[in-house]
Formats: sequence, structure tokens, C-alpha cells
Amino acid sequence: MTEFVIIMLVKMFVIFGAVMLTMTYITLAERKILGYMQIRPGPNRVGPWGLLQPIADGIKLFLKEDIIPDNASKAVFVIAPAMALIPAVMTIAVVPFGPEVSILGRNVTLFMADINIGILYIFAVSSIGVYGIVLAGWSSESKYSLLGGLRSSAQMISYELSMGFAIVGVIMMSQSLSMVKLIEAQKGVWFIIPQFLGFAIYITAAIAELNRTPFDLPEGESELVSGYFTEYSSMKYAMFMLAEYINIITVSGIVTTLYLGGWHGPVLPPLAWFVIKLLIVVFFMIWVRATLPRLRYDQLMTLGWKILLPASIVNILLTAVFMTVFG
Amino acid sequence: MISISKNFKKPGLKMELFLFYIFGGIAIIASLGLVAGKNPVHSALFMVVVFFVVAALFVLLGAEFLAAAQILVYAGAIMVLFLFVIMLLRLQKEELRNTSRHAFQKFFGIALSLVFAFQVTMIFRGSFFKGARGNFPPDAVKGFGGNTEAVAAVLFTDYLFPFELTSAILLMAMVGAVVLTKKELK
Repeated sequence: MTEFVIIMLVKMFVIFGAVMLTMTYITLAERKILGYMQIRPGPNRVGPWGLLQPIADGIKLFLKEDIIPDNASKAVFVIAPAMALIPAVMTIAVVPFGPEVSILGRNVTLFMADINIGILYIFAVSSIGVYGIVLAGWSSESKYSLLGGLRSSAQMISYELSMGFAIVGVIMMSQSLSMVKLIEAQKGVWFIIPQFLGFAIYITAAIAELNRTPFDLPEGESELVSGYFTEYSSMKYAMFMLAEYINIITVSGIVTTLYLGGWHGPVLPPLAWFVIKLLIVVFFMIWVRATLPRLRYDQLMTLGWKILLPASIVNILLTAVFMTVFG
Repeated sequence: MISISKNFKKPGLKMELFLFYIFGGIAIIASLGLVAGKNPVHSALFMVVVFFVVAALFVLLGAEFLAAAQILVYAGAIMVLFLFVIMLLRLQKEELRNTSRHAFQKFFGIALSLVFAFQVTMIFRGSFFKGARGNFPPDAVKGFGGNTEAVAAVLFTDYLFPFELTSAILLMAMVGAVVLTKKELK
């Protein structure tokens, strides 16, 4: 019993620490990659190759004055950033970074928990993330924040549907909701090949869920200042940023698990494969941000409801037909 | 809840009871906050808390699927839409305090809820502490291979017709909403 508790605690610290560290360096990587794609160097003053930039950013955010607007609904205003960050951290618990390995003579799994409703858990928890945004928008008592919050919640609700339907195809093929069983089902062929339509839908919807370009209208600078977190400063603002970047890691982890075969791969150890695939997905998201212009609001809704949603239903139908005919 | 812990003996029984009291307590406090709160947004948030602790109770009962569905559907979708509407209404603070028109509401509300509580107690008096065994005790659920499979097996066989009927009703409601929001019908 005590051994179990100690192992879990150690895993918790290691996984949380690793994710936080990766997260800070993804912010740097994003700025660097965007820089190179736009033919400019990106941050390069703090430390060699700008490597200390995330630390400088962190210190800066810590030392900024924390402002709560006079008219703000105080309690909700303070809770909102936490409600954005907590679900982001909670989802990491079921991301399977690697299979069971032997460390110091003990068999340890490289994930916190393999629950039999893994995917549903991720969906349930990430659907809570929208509260942080909605409440931040509402409690700020500012037009820009409210509009940003409204847009964002409409967007997240719309794209959650297609996301859920896209995953159904994968669940049908693996016959399980457990993240580990999903990866085991991809030993031969990664699901990205039979489920390419589902993959395309999922990654589009996931980028929309994260409010990232080209779906970042909720924080459209040119019209809404910065949307739902216009009134936030200091660490509360930083918590929204933390939530966004941790969500990038979890979404990449989920994409890796669902479509890219998880930890399967030749030669290298499983954990290395998982991390490599995860980072490739992260790079893809940054690449998309550098490439595509922002959508207009009506285009966003049309894409969500008239293209992605029907396409995801077609994907379920096709999967069912193929499974009955060839399976 | 007590009944379940009597039915299957497993280690951590006291822990389960302890957790039940904690979550039950939070549920009661949050539902009081929901009713007593002056600000509709605060009430909505208390309701989210209630959904969460009820989901936690489902997990204690070994019904993870229900717990996930509860959070996904109620906390993740329905309450977000509620909040959405409340935010769009943007009630003024004076309007929120104006309760004089509903002077009798409080009285009738309390009286009726007491009657309801009495009824519920009378109905479940016999089964509260004994825990009548249902059709799907834990070992039967295990036979299906887990509670997700058990729910699916029952839902798509015994309850297929009501299930399909519900989806048809929901579809009708959806079509109705689209028709109502269209300004001109061609």
C-alpha cells in the first residue's frame, strides 16, 4: 500500500514536472518556429538561442501588478483562471506516455492511470475547460471580454460535437474506451490510415477547441483587444496561458494515442516514440498557426456545422460498413 | 450508498463511506447555495458543483460510465448553454434583488419541498438501509465486461424502442427550434 502511494506520488511529480517543463519550452519553440517561418530570428537575447526566454517571461509575469477591475464580479473573476487550468492538468492523468517498464526492480507504468473509460474521461474533463473562458468573459464586466467569452463558448460547443463523433470511428475499430487498449489495437496499422477522415476532422476540431489560429476569433486582437482575458494581468493571465499550452500537449498526446499508434515504433524505446510523435503534432499546430489566416465568424460556424459534423457522421457510417464487409 | 457497501464486502469500506459523507455534504451545501444564491451565474456554478459531486458518487458506486456521461452532458453541455443564456440576459442588480412580487413563492416552495421530502422518505423507507438487490448487482455488471458494456447491452436491446423514440423527439425539437428562429418561411 505505502509502496503504491510512493510510486504514484513520484509518477505524479515526474509527469507534472515534465509536462510543465515541456510546456514552457513549447512557448519558446512556438515563437522561434513562427519567427523562422516569417524570416526573422525570434527571441534570441535571453541566454544562448533565447533558451532562457521562458524563465524571463515567467519572472516578468510574476512581478506584474495584479489588477482586478472595480466592477468585476470578484469571486468569479478569481476562480475563472483556475477553472481553465485545472481541467487542462487533469487530462494529463490518462495520457499514456509509455507501457509498463521496469525501474529499480519494480514494474511501473508510464502513465498515471489506465481507466476503462479513458476517452470519455478526457472528453468530460475537457468539456469543463469552457467554464474558465465563459466565466472570465462574464466576470470582467467588459464588452470585449463578454463578446470573446460568448464567441468562444459557441465555438467550443460547436466543435466538441464533431470531435466526439470523429473519435467514435476509432472506438469502433479498437472496441475499447481505454487509452492503453487503443494503443495496443494499433500494433499493426496506425489508425491514421483507416481513419484518415476522422483524423482530419479531429485535428481541425481540436485546434478550434484550443482557440488557436485559424480559429482564434475569441481573442481576435484586431476587434476584441484580446477577448475573454482582456482584463486579466499578472499570474491570472499566466494561468490562461499555462492552460492553453498544457492543453496543446494533452491534445497532441491524445492525437498520438488515437491515430498515430501511441508508443509503437521500431528501434527506439516506446517512450521516445511517444514523445517524438507528440512533438511532431505540436509542431504541426504551430505550423498551422503560421500558415492559415483567421476565419470569419460565419465561416467558422459553417465549417463546424455544415462540413465537419456531416463528415464525421459519414466517417462513422463508412467505418461501420467497412468493418461489416471486411472485418 | 450504505446498502451497496453492505452488499459487497471489499477492503476500503470505511473509506467509501467516509468519501460518501464528504461528497454528500458538498452536494447538500452546493444545492443550498444554488437555491439561496441571489446571482443567477453563482447559482449556475453551484449547480455545476452538484453535478460533479453526484458524478463522484456514481464513481463510488462503480458506475464510471454514468459519471463521465453526467459530467459530459450536464456539466459540459447543458449548464454551459444555461450560462450562455444567463450571460446574454445580463440582468441588472436591481432586477435581481426585486423579489417582492414573489412574496408567497418562498413559503410555498419550502412547504412543497417538505412534502416532497416526506413522500420520498415514505417510498424508500423499506429499501433505504436494507438495500434491495437490483437486476444489475456488481457481479452481473462484471459479466458484461464493464458498466459501459452493460449499459450498451441493455440500452440497445431491451430499451431500443424508447431509446430510438427519444432520439426522434430530440430531432423534432431541433427542427422546431430551426423553424422558430427562421424569420421568413418560404
